Amino acid sequence: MNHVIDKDYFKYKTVDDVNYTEINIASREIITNKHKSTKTSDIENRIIQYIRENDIKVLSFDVFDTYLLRNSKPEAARYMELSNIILKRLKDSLPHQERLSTLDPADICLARIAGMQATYRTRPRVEGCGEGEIREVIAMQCRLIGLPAQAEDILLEAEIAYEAENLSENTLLARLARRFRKEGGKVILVSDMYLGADIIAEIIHRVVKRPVHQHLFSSADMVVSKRSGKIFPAIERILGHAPREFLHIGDSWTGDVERPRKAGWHAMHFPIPRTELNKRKAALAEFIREMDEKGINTRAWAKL
Amino acid sequence: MQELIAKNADHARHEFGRELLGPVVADYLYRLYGTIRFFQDVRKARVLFVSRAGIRIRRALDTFTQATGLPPVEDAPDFWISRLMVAKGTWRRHRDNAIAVLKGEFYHHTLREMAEAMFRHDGLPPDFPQDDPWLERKGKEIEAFFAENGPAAQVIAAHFEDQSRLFEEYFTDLAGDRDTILLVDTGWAGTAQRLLADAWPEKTFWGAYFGRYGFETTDRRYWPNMIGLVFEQDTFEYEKPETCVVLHRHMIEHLFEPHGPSIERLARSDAGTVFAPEAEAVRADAPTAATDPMFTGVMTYLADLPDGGSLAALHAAAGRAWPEIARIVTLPTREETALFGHIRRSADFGKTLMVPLLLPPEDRFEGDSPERRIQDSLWQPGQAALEYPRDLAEPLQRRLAGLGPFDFKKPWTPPAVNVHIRQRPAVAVITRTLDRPMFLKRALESVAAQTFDDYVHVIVSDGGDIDLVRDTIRDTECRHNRILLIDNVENRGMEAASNIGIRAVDSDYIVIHDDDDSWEPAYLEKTVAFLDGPKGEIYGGVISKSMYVSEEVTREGIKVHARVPYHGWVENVHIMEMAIQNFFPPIAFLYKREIYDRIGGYNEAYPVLGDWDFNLRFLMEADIGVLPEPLANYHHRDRGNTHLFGNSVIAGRDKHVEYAAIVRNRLTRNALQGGGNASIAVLVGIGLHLDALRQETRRIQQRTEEMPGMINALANPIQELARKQQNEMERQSGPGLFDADDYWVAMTRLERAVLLKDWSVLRKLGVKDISRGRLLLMKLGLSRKGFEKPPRLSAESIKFLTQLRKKGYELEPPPDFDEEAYLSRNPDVAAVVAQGKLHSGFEHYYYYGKKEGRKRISRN
Repeated sequence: MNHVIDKDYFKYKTVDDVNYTEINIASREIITNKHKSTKTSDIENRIIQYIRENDIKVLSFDVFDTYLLRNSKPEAARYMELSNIILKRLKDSLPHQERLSTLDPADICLARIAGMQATYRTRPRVEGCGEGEIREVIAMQCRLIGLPAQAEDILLEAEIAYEAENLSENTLLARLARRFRKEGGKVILVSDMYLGADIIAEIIHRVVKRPVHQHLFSSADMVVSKRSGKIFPAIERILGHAPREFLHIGDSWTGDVERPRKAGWHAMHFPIPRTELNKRKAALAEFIREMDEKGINTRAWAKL
Repeated sequence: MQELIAKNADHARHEFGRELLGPVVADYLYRLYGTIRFFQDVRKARVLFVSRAGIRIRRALDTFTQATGLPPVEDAPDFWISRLMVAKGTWRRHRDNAIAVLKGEFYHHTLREMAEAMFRHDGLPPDFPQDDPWLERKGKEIEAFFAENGPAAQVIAAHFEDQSRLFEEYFTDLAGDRDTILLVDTGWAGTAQRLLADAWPEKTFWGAYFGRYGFETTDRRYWPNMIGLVFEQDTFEYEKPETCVVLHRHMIEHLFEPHGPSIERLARSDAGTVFAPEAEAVRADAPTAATDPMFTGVMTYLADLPDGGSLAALHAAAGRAWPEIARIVTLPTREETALFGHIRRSADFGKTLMVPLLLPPEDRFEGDSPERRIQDSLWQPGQAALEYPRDLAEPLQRRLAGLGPFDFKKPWTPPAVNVHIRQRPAVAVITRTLDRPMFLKRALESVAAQTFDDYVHVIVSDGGDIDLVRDTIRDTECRHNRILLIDNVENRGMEAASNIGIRAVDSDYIVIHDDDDSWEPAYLEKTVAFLDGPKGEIYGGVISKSMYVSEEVTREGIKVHARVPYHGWVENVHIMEMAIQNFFPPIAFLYKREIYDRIGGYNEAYPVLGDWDFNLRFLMEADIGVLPEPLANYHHRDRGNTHLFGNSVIAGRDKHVEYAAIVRNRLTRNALQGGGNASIAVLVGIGLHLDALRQETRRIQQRTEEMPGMINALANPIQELARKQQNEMERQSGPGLFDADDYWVAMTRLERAVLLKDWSVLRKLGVKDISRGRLLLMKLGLSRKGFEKPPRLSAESIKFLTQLRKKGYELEPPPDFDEEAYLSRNPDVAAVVAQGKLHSGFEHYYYYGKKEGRKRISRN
């Protein structure tokens, strides 16, 4: 399926002579190959051209599944994998904790889910927006499993390390960002995530040799978010730029295209390809079935 | 379990508690524990265990933490309240709320009963004005009672003021300096939390409940802050067996209800502190296997945790237990009702009445019935099990719980994994357009607003200005990356445009979204889910119900005049019905591409009715399901310039008539000439005759229906007649057994019996032949005109007629009965009438409401 990067995209066909022109955008597979193909440089050039034509001053990327690319594991399976790693680290770091001997990764995973629900639901709202925060998630996890306070740091470090090991930089966007900065532009990252800016920055530093961004905004810190639309004016105020000077690129239609456009930003859609979504779906179905066999019904929370 | 119950009910209750409730309570306590610790440590909240349930919840939680080795919950005091105490306690801060709560509880009771309930423990003060006439009025007038501030109101208000001051002191002391309060209780709609939140807006109240559910009228303002730890859902759902608590909350409420009185007052101790005098009795609750077998069974489980004490193990154990609990709650056998048959619930709010969970299966009063007892019971499936043998009870229980015929017949398993992996878009949305940018914009927005986004939107410009179409798309906020634009260059017709659009892409499903129609945002989500789910094995397509939208194009834009259900009678799609007429619009119809391919697409020869032809051929291959929710909007420009902007149904009305014959003829001709589908030809032929028959039947039915109208037109005279009859009887023999309503019922039923020639009734009235019946009717008629005395009906006849409850003799309200007002003031009755269980509000009033003390509302 073709991906749109700007509004001027149509497949145009006449019935009488099937003769159509299209703006063809390379799929994610090409980008992650890390080989510079003519197609990706086409995209890069087209975006640079768009930036120049529209006098863009700030280039903004979504982080997860845009600037940093994930593998094909669904979120639910990642939580379980992380839970396995957490249990190992806890046993290594707290060898005298008796409780750990009876713990299963499923316990840690379910405790995480409880923590996610607690933080997202109960965190005080800002301008009507709610967002979770990882430290609150970890606090709930430790209390549910009956771990001491020092375990919280172990869980946080495991989270950062796991993310860093399972992410790779989007080389197309990285090149784009470097070119743009050379031309005097600013590059920022904007994420709707329960990880604060400091944690995301740490993850990026572990993934990327030379991070491209100058500022990083996370809804975990600001509570207002892209999907509510309220983060954009806040960023404008902080950076001192008008809406039309921003170009944002991301994979979520609502948070990365619809809302920024409503806020007056330029926006381009960089969706996850169907092939990758299908891999995640297959993995998700497998995960749900495996948990069913353990007697744990995950349908209420297991997502892509 | 059944054998166990038969042997020893208490032991069975204990085992039910240990084997089934134990795991689900343990799972609940684990979630509660995490929530309490989170609120204490992260939100810095004051956690309060709300009496009375909180007392046993804490006891269970302590046993649980000990068994699991988790640090115990500390610094979480008991909060000695009840809903009544909170109503009293918030009197000074939010009087309107308190009055509203009292009104709800005492609506049909007298204010005297309310007063007595408020002073239940101490008794009414000696100087209470017992002869205040307000005390005989009903609780529904409570606002006026307090507004007028008569003698009784002053005493009660003073009591509330006093209690309110004590409560404020008590609560302030409990809350301390914390801004966030977490209340721990069983559930369900969080009334106490709401009252407190309204009274103390400067604090943030949260509730941790076993479950959360409500009704249509429930105030849900604070629901985001009411956490149902096990479930949050208003209705029972088979796939989520834990939601069975919605059908039988008393199972959990009774489990956690300690022995002891409700907390309805506060007092000041000698030491000057505020306390609840009844708290000590509740604290003394000491459940044993004899007094509380189910609770002790649960506690046995919690102490041992035989399934393991980890989060995952308890979660799995609860997952195994819930289906069996749900089966017992929804489809109990007569023996299984004994598990809960002993439960008696207090009526709450100071009332001394105890209500049994199950009623003895025998008439309580004249006119009582099994149906009535089931309706009144606190556990309807259980009552059904007592009233009927198993083969009759079970279908009724299934209906009460909304269960399918096969639910619980096999071991419960979680629903199938609902993940669909597609190599192509799920849906091809086809929009045909021709120089209508205003409508095209609306159509684009309609598709873009869909909550389901795995579609390709094919826009086929059928010979119009392609630049205009492109500009419209460009300027509309929509999913441009989902759009495929096709320029037909010249006009090829609606059906050809559909085929071109459909064949230009690949997809699992297809739907025609005309440029002048629209969807509700969930249309694709629900129709795709329907065909993706188990129903997709049965059906080749699905329609949602539709709304007919009457609109007009004005200078200012499109103006909607009305929205009414379009063919609201459609519950299913019969091929025979389709043979008579096409009864759903294209906008409502999502179908499988494989069927489209099999039947060769739309017939391009038809300028109109091509969708009817398509639907007929579709139904020869596959069935079409119906979603009851109206998610499709079928727009009609039936006002203003219908020629210019009308859709084909309005503007092309003559063409529809013309092509109805052409379509039928072509199908028949094709079949006779050896091609085509002979079956469809037969069907459309039969359909034509069926349509004619239906029209004739409608004419006859209309005449028959006019008859009651004629009766109704005479309603006033009949009612006058009823009064004359009553006066006559009373004149002759003194005030009688019957009132005007009895005479109304008797005379209208008499008239109905004569009109219907119902001899089973007429003979009982002494009418042996039709001439006598006609004479009776004539006498009635003459009496109406004032020429004769009303026909005499014996007391026996009147009694017979008033107790006659069978089809055809439904009760219409007399002219002076304000049916609308009665239903409005009695929403429970309105619901029953809407469900068809009773014919009218008057019928309820006549048979039940009068006895219940409900007011007869007369028209002025």
